[in-house]
Amino acid sequence: MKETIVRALFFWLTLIILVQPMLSHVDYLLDLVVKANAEYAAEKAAPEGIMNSDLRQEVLQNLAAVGLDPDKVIIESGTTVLERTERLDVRIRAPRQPLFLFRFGSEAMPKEYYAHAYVMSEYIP
Amino acid sequence: MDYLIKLAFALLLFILTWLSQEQHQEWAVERNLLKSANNFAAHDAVQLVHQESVAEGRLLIDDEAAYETFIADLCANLGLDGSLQPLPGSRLRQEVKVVWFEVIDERTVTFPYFYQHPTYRIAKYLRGPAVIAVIETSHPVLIRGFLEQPPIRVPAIQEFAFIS
Repeated sequence: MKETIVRALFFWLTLIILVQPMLSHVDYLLDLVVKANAEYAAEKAAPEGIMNSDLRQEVLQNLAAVGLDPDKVIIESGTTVLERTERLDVRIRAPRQPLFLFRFGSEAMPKEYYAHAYVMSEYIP
Repeated sequence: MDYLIKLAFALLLFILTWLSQEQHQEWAVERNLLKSANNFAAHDAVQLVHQESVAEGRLLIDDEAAYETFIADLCANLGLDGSLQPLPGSRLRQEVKVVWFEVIDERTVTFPYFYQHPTYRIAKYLRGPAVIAVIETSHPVLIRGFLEQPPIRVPAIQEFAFIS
């Protein structure tokens, strides 16, 4: 009986050992995808001086393709066309699921993926 | 007792593997951030041409303004202060160093020009004025191994964006 209880307790430890690295990798990839999309959007918006609705939709589709809910993704960028050498910012916030089974520290886990890309506009009116 | 020793060994292996994985992932995220920030900073620096030279039909880059813009861009994209140290909240943990910054324009070469830098292993045909920059930061460390890891170093080349 004692042995069974001990094994039942260690079962959870085994489960964490098996699952945690995979969850951690998923979290890392989603973080990378959100950041890559912010950079992609900034790069593509620079020639036009604005992040237009087509580009916004494209980014939302990219994020939806990896399982993020587009309705909960927040994309922030200016609404006016910026002229050459003016600052163009793109910020993306996406909801982050708690993918760590055990919390070692007292610090709260981040609740969102965040990406910020800044580039100069190339647009000449 | 035997069971406990085996368990402790398995736990140790798991923790080392996990930390190693986290370190590799952190390296990849930081490298990705550095590369994009360097691309954006070089992109913005190369846009700063002398307006007088444009009127004369030449594209000459304002070296000082280009470097200032380059640094300001790195700070904005990576969350750094003026001395390139990470600000609170930045993803980076160590100082970023600009190890190479060079402006190539018609004052020094004729285009097309084959640019080579053997130290940083850069080689590219340039069709017009360009900014070449190499930046680096320390390798993230979660497990201190026997060997010291080389810094994360990324190059970027941006040519002037011609308007057709």
